[in-house]
This record gives sequence, structure tokens and C-alpha cells, in this order.
Amino acid sequence: MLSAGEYGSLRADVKDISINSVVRIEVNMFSYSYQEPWQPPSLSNSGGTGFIIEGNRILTNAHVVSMANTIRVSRANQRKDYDARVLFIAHDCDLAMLVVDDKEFYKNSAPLTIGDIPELNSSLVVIGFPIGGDRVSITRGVVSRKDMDLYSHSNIDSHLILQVDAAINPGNSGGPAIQDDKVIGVAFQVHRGGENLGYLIPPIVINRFLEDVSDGKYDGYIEFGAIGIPTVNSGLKSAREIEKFLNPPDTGVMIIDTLKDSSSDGHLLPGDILAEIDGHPISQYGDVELNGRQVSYTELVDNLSAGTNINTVVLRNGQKKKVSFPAKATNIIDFQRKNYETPPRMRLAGGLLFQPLDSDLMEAYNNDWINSGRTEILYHYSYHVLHKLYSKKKEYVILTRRLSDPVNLYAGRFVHRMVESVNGENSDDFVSFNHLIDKNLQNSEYLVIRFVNEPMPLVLKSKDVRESHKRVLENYSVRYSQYPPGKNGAQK
Amino acid sequence: MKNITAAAFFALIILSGNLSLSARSASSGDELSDLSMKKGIVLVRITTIHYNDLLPWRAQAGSGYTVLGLVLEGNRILVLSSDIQNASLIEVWKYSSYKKNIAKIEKRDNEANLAVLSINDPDFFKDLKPIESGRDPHMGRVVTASTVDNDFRVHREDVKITDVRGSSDFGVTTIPFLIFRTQEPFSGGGLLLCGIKLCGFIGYSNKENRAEAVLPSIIRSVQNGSDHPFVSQGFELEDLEDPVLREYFKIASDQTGAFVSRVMPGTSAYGVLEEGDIILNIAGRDIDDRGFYNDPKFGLQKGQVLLVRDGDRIRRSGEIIPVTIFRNGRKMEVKITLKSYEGNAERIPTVVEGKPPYLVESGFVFVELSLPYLRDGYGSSWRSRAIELSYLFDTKRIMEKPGKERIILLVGVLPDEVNRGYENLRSIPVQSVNGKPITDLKQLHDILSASNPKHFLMELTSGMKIFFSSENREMANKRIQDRYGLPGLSNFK
Repeated sequence: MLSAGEYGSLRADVKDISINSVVRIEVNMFSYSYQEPWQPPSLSNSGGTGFIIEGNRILTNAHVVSMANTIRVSRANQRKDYDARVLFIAHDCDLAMLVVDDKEFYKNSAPLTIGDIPELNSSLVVIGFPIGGDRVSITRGVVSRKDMDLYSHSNIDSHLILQVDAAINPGNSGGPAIQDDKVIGVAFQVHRGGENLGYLIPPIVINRFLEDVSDGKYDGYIEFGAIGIPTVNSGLKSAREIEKFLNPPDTGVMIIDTLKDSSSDGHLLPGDILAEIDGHPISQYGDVELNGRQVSYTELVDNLSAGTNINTVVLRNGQKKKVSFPAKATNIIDFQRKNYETPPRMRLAGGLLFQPLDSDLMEAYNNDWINSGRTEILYHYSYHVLHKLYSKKKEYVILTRRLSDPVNLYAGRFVHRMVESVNGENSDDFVSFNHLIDKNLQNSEYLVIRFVNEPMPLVLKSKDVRESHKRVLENYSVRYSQYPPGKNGAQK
Repeated sequence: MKNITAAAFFALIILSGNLSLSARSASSGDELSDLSMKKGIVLVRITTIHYNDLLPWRAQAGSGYTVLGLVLEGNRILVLSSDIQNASLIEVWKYSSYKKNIAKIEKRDNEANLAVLSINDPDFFKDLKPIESGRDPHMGRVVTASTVDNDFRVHREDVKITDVRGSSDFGVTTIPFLIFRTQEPFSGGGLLLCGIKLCGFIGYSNKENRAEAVLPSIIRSVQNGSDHPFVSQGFELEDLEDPVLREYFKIASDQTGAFVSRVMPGTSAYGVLEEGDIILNIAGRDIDDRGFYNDPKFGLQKGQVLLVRDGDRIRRSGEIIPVTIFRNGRKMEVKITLKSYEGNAERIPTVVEGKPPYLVESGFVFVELSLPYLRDGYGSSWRSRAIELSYLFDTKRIMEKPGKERIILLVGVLPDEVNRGYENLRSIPVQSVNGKPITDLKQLHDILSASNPKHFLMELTSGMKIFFSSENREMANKRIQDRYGLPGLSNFK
């Protein structure tokens, strides 16, 4: 246990210079309703923290400035606030870079520099503007854990995180964690279930972001994309002849699948034993040694930029083989990524609201679908990638609402069902769905929509649907019937 | 009605022994005397065994409950089939004696949800006399609902038949049930009496005292019929009220009819009707846009009922029923030859009788996916907790053609050195072994028991791959059987 004396000797002291470079961020942000996606966005205020880095830039979390209408920033000792704008935003690692055009803002500030990844149990301070008061707040803690974990902003990306026991609260987001006058983390999320489980974005992720945007645009993370299982099982070892070909014999993970379009897709094959990656031998549990600690082999490749070659050694069909392939990103799971950029996509036809199935729609309707037993929607969302359902449809479209109108008197039974086809043609994604609706409203007497796991078709007269358009928009004060707008612009 | 409320019901009736007068209006005409009622019924105590679907070799003592049984001609007793499911012991006693007698199951019909019991002692029936069976009551008729408590005190009350509804809750056959409301709970069952005659067997009563009774015509059919007296229908109908839809299907505006949304294999309709057909007329009666016909006795009834019932007569296997349908824009006549359900429509069984089949291989435990499994494994909210399995249940439960195939699950792992690394696998469907799709436990067992090849590769739907080695298989199986005290590595032949 640490005595009071020892505590005083810890290294994390904060100089005024650090506090002076920390920025309060106040944001007026948009949010859209997925239940009434045609409504103008509602506005709300929220706040966070940022810090000044080299080149008069401000670094903060993506979630602090996502969907921002206006951003106002001020430093701890400033009496005035300034307009800021977003230069780059990276939702997949929850980082954003801002700039203030008024140079006065930066007067007498010193940029903070990014340090190295801190040791376990080393102390740090977190500076920011959390709830509980108006002035700057400083809180202390130690690094409790380093691990790959989920970044909840996008809800699908996992990168390295630092767990700390400092008290991190709403408003701390985007604030720096300081050790030896250097930033060794950006506070970004907490674990709601436990106590004193705060999380920081580590230097490796911050530096990757800074490098990525140095060419003027953000490319994002690559996806290694191989799913491997441990090879501790003796039957597996002998069937794949691991002991015969690999030394030591407790080496390698078995690849059971690769994500479509990811780096390893088409290069690593199901059944391969992945023995080595970029010169690091992989243990039978999937660990590699990195700077003296055991880490998951996925951590090794997580921070590569697109195009970098990944060099692996695999055991395939009783032969050790070198397999190299370039790192690249995949968009196959992007539908599960929360949308922070655009208004909800939607299509209203005959008073029936169609929306593509994505993370935000799932959040809005998850409970309704569970309660109404719409297992086909839950299944297609959850198993789209794992069961390779994308080979049939790239994107699913759900009839989510019926705005009651004479044209859709008998359509109520189809609400919360997933579209299979339009006039006999497969609707592959939301774009093709819209195209099929447009085409058949123009050229066919009937609009015939079939739904997954439903033998009865929905049949509307194209003429009735066209005639209902104005009436529905007027009766329900709907701003537009389609987003993104169709060929003819946002038709009214 | 198989539930714990049975005990509560009897307690209540004992406390209010003189209810029988207060619940009734002045009796009119003849009515069955208390003694004749008591002679026509017995009490049946059923003790069940509960099988654990997750550890399928384990049986636990289940619940016990008492229900009313109806004395039939030929020294037989009628009870609900669902009440004797997984029964370990069935005890029967009558009004005149405290002696308990052990009953044997003679016949079960899960489609009608009725079962016939016998008693070894022929003298048991000496002072019993079946109540004469009457006609099916009209909808709206006031009849007497009657039951007894544990001491054979008779309770009666007048009830009105408020509805007659076709239901296929117990199988694939839609059968009409009488629906009415009682003042006292009838959760232990009872009789409907029309004067001195039997006009219903009360089979179900919920917490709001909404009760259902089996029609006397159906009881007669089960009593007299062969082992499978009930003819199946095997199709589902959907509304076709939407005029645009009717126009699209090119049905004349004055022509009514309903949409066939499913045809089940192994039933009368299989091979005759097709999904997408529109049914216009069954056995000479027009079907309306919601799939109903107007029954002179029961009012609006599901069209399917016409295939099981002809007035008060229950139809028999072999009868040929003319059906007018609309298919591909053409009106046509088809003939449905009635037959009883062959029991081969379900890929995922909703009812599992007796021990759930299982297979343990190298410590991996395999079972068949069933509704009891989903309920045992995931509780009442199984739909939200088992997304893949619920989806399979909703979309793959009914087979496309008759067959015996099942969905095989790896339900869990009994940890051992042979399955090291796989201990945490739970409840995942098996896709294939060495590329061959797996559709039943016996097939899986036979494949894995072969001594060649040396290794078998099993793939689960999650993409997980498991290697089984034929080399040390028997030793490992024996070790696991001993350590975990398994009665056997499988329980099927």
C-alpha cells in the first residue's frame, strides 16, 4: 500500500503551462429522430474538453463535437470564448481536430506534446471541465490496465485503451491525461457498471490519428479481418499437424474465417494456422510479445496505415508458407456504425415510411422488434457478417411506419417488416430500393412489395401512390419524402 | 389446464361448498342429478417428470395435479392429452371409494388434445355409468358447467357459450372449441351439461375464468375412432380484404375468398393446395375475405373447420372434399382427400414427449432444437436472448416437404482434455461434419463412430471448427461418461 509520503513523490505534477493549454469546449449540437426522420433536427447543448497541440490545433474527442451546430472554446484563464471549427473528425477512434481562426485565442499558449505509452501503475493527472463546477478540474490516478477494448462512440471499433482510476466524469471527454508534462492519453469514456473505471485513448492511437490527417484527409483504420481460435486442442493440433511443422509446437491460432474485403480476406484461408505476424511468433492463445508484455496479435496490426504490407507465416496443407498482403479497410460492418454525419436516410411512399437498417434504426426500434417477435430483423442485423448474409443483400430496408391515409388502408399488417423485393426485383440496398420504387411508380400499374418471411405481398396502385404524395406531406407536415434527395432534388 | 392452479381451485371449492345454488337461476326441465354426475366422472391425479433440456440425461420430479376425468363407454376414462404429457404416475379414484387405482394410457390424440385411459381392475367401473352424449350446443346457448371438489361435492353454474373458435394450439389441426366464462375457476376441468346430456368437456380455464370445452362430437370421434381418428387440414389462411390486392389477383369484385399463406407437409392439403392459392369455396360453402364461413350452429368459423366437421359429424379419413380455388388467374376445382396428420411437418418440435434425445461425443453434448429447449435454456424471453435460434424457430420450424430432419445443436461441453480449448461453446447449431450437412443425432453419431478417417471436422453455424479424432475417441468417451456419471452417451437407438 502507498503511504502518504510515497504518494507525494509520484511524478505526475502539473505545471501551469499544461493547465493553460487545456480548452473548455461548448457545443450546440443537432440530433435527429429516427422515428420521425423528416423532422428538422432538435438542438441541445453539451460540453467537453480539448487541448492545444502543435500548429495551433485543438485535439478533442469526436463525440464532443459530433453533429455540432456551433462550437465555442475558451482556455482556462480566458474571459472570452471563440468560435472553433472541425478540421478532421475520426469516429472510429473518437478523436477530432479543431481550429480557431481568431489568433488572439492562442496568445501565450504553449502546445502540449504527446508522450509515450505510460507504464502500468504509473501516476497521471487528468485535466478538464467536468460537471460539478465551472472552473478547471484536476484529478489524479494511476494506469490500471492496458488492453484492446471497444470505443463506444462508434460502438464497433476496438483499439488499445488505458484504464485509469482517476475520477473521469462527463465534461472530461477530450481532456488530456498528463505525465511528465506530456499528454499520455485523452479521456474519453467510463465504465458505467464499476467504480473508478475511466478510460483513456493511448498515445499510439493519438499519433496514428495525427499521422493519418497529415496529408489533409482522414482515411481511418484498416481491418485485419481474420477470425482465429486458440490451438490448444490436441485433436486440432494433430489434425492440422502443428507439432510436426511448427516449433515450438504451442504456436499459432487457427483461422476460421475472414471478414469480406478486409486485409486478410482471400489471403488467409479457413483452416490456416497463423504462426507469425510481422516477425512476431503467435502463441497458441493468440498472444505476441510486444515490449516485454503479452498482447493480442490483433494489436500489432491495428495501427497500420492502408497499403502497408502485413507479413505472415501460416501452416497450410502441411506446408509452412509466407503470405503477405497489404493492410486495407472494409466497409462490411459500417451499417453497425453510428451515424454522426447526415440526417437519417428515409423514403416515404404512399404514406409508408421505409428506412435502411443501421445502428441508429436498431437503437430506435430494438424494443419494438423484440416485443413484436420480428426475429428476422434482429437476426439479419446481428448475423449479417458472421453468416455472410451480405451475399443476398448488402443492406436491409424496413417498413417502419404507416402514416394513415386512404392509399394505405390495408398496409398496417406490414409495418416492422423487412423488404424482400419490389415488383419481383431484389432490393439489394437502400439506393436500389429507391430506384425500384421510382421505376415502378413511373412504369408499372401496381407497386408490389414483398417482405421477408411473409407470403402476402403489399400491393398499391402506382397512380394512387403518386396522387397521395402531396396529401400525406401536407397532412403530416412532412418536410421531404426522401433522404438523401432523389434525382429531382428534394421533391416536395 | 396443467398448472399449479389446480390445487388452489379445489381448496376454494371446499370452502364454498354451497355455491351450487347461488350461481344458478331456477333450473328448467330435466337436469342430471348429482349422483348421475358423480357416476359419470372420476378424479385423476397426475405426477410428471421434468426433463432438463440442457442436461438431457437428467430427469427431475415434476409437478403433480388433479383433474376431472370423464367415464366413457367400454370402461375407459377421457382426459386431456396435454395433462398426461411426461406423466410418471396416473392415479384414479371415484366417488364411492377412497381406493386409488393406477391408470394406463390406451390412446392419445395430440391433435384433438384428448387421451383415453384404462384401469386394470374391471370392477372399478361397476358403480359408474357414462353420461349420455348430446349434440354440439349452439353458440349463445346457456348450459350448465359442472365439476366436483376433492370430496366429490358437485358444483354447478349456468354459463353461456359466447364463442366457438377454431384453434390448433396443440398440433396442426384446427378444431373448434366452445368458449364461455365461469364465475368460479374450472382449472381442474369439468363438464358442460345440456339437461341430462353431456355437451362439452371443459379442458382449459385461465385466470380470468375464461374457459374452453371440447365438443361432444369430437369426444365421440376419439372414443370410437381408430388410433388416429382426426383428419388434418394443414393450411393457413390470410385476410384478403384489400380491394387493390383482389384486383391485382384478378378476382371478380363480387367473389369472396382468402389467401393460402402456408401448406404443411404430411397433411391433407399437402400436394393439393399451394401457397398463394386463393380459396373461394370448401365443401360447398363460400369462404369470406377473412377466411371464414358462416356455420349455422357456431356462426363465423375458420374455413379449415369444414374439413373436420360436417354438421355434428366429425369427418373421417378418406373422405374427399371439393375445394374451389383461384390459382394463376384461373378459377379451378381441386379435391382434398382427408387423412390424419403424419407427424412429419415440424423441423423444430413444439412438444417433446419423454426424454429429449441427446448425444455426448468427446464431451460435446448435442441435442435437437425444440421449443422446450428454448424455454429451458433462455426462459420466457427466449426470443430476445437467442436471436439465431428464434429466427430458426420462426422461419424453419415447418418443413417444405415431409421429413424427419432436425436442427442439431451443440448445447455445451463437459470439460475434458479432448475438448480443451472448446469449453466455452454454448448452444450453437451444427452445420456439417466433413462437409456433410447434419440433420439428425443418429446420423451424427454414425459419422463420428466410423474409424476412418482419422479426423472429422465439424463446422458450426458460427464458423467455429472442431476436430474430432477417431484414435482415442472410445477411451475419452468412457472417461467422460464415468466422470460425469452419464447413464449413456446417447439415449436413442
